[in-house]
Amino acid sequence: MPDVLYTLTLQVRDAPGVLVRIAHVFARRSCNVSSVQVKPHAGGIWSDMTIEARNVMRITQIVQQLEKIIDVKSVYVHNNERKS
Amino acid sequence: MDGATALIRTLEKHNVEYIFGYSGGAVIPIFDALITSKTKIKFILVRHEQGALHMADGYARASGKPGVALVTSGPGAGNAITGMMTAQMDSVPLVVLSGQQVTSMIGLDAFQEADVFNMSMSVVKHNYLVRKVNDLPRTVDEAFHLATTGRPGPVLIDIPKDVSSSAFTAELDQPVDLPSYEHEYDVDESEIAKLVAAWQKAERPLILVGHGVLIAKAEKELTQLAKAMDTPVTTTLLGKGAFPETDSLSLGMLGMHGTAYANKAVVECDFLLNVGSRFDDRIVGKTSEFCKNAFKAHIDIDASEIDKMIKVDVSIRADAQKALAVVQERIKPAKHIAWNKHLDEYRQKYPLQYDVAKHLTMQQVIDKLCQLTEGKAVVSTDVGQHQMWAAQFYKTERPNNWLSSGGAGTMGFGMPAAIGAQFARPNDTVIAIVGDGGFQMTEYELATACIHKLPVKIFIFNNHYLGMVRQWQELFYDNRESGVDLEGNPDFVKLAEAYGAKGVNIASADEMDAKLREVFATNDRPVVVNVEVMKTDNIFPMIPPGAALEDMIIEPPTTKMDKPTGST
Repeated sequence: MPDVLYTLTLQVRDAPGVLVRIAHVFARRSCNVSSVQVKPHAGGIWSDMTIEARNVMRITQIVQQLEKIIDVKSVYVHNNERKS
Repeated sequence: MDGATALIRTLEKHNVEYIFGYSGGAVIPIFDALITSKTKIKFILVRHEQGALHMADGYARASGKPGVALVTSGPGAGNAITGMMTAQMDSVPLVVLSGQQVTSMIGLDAFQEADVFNMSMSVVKHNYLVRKVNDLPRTVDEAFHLATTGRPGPVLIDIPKDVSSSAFTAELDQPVDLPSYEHEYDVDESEIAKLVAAWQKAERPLILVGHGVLIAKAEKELTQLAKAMDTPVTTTLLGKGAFPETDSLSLGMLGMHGTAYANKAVVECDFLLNVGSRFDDRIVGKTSEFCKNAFKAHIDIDASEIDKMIKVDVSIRADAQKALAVVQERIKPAKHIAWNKHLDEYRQKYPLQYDVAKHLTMQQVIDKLCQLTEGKAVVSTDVGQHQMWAAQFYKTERPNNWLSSGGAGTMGFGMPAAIGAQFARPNDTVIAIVGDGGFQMTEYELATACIHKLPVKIFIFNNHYLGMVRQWQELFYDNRESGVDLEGNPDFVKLAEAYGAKGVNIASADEMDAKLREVFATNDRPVVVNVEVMKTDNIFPMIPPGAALEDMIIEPPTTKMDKPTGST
């Protein structure tokens, strides 16, 4: 199976611990996070988080588990065809 | 008013009756407020934080209301982790309050400081570290909301000592602030239409009922639908009680140690409706073989459970009660005489049975307990052989009466959970069915039961072994016993008496009836019953881990079995 580099964009609460909660979901399913970028919205309670991850066995599970995090508002999976 | 008093006032607003917990340095302000606030909330001092968590859990499962626990920082919160994991795996609503070092010392390795926020993250639905006293009541409101709505679970609030002891200057009532939390979903009518059409034309339909039916309080809708559609019902371990197990449509529990007829129904059905079960590995066995020719529908409030283990033809993400009510409106009653007759033949051919010849067995005693209490007692269990036999032979008739650690499989759960249940339902009979192994993991909570003179009946099924692991070693590892002999068990009758409980010993079938009368006649204190059972009994039916349901072993195998490769 080719190791696809997944790119996800999440809208999250700008709250302490949100990055750890998200990292847990990837780590527990043996995924490697290649890059993370967090950009807080100006003056608001939200941040945009872009994550690139490899070794993703079940992207649907990952997305659904991310969506269950109370501080995560939305999860969007980008071009999942790009090779690493 | 200080933060601790504001906390107590908020707990009162949520109608908290009991807090189960243990004191310590970081929670002294909260313990002080329990007195100075003159609250009516009763605090139950336990002997170990794991006990407090399981009591809150048992209280929640038996009452349908959230349980509350209060522990101190560091080791106190550490000891609470297993209890939170147990509740999280079984979707039980808990609010756990932990003390923390003062905010200025957090991160400096101060005395009894632990990073409980991070430690607990993977065993809770959500957690908080409160840094401002004025946020405390709103955080508690959010915790109760999160714990009890959607798919329930434990929520931890870590409260630094300076937060609980400083002056509270805001309003107690503040709106909850959870803009990214969704928990209510509309029933998808087009999926319902597909479900109804498939059920309507099914010849061999089957309903699989999980804990979600009890959580959604959908027992009435489920029972009416099963009857109207003449469709047999099998439940998971945690679904016991959602449908009366003595009903002619009940097949009992399915799965690894389920009834042969339930598993055969799963293999042969042409339509399967799963309501509120997560297709756990203990019930599906080999996933590629599970129920493979049937049309499968799944109702679950948690989207991540749909298609996780078993791919289904129809899925409805909704509250079970709401979804079943819509199905009821759309469907026309049906009869399945031939299918039910066929399953009856399986019931006759492969009944749950036990040998009454030589030794006293767990099955015989549990069967008797079920008869004596007419299936209406609240029963909690530990984990292992006794748990599976209890699931088989104690026919649960009513909701919220079966308390068992299913997902986590936490030994030590049974007795404290029974204590919590007895607090929730003081007038009902509460029985703990535990093994000699699990009992010794939380036996110190006998003190808590004795202090409050709770009439819990604790049956220790004593085979002097960790029986389930010994069974696997016998079946799959050439009977090499390793780490399973519980040599050195204390005299449980004397132990009970030392705590102030009544101790009873049952060593043979001849004395069982008289001794049980004595047990059920004692209602002024806990009763601990040591039941000396056959040492090396094995539980069947059994589906070897990772095997298909068709490969169920109904009787003890006569040839050596391969080591299992599937789920532990």
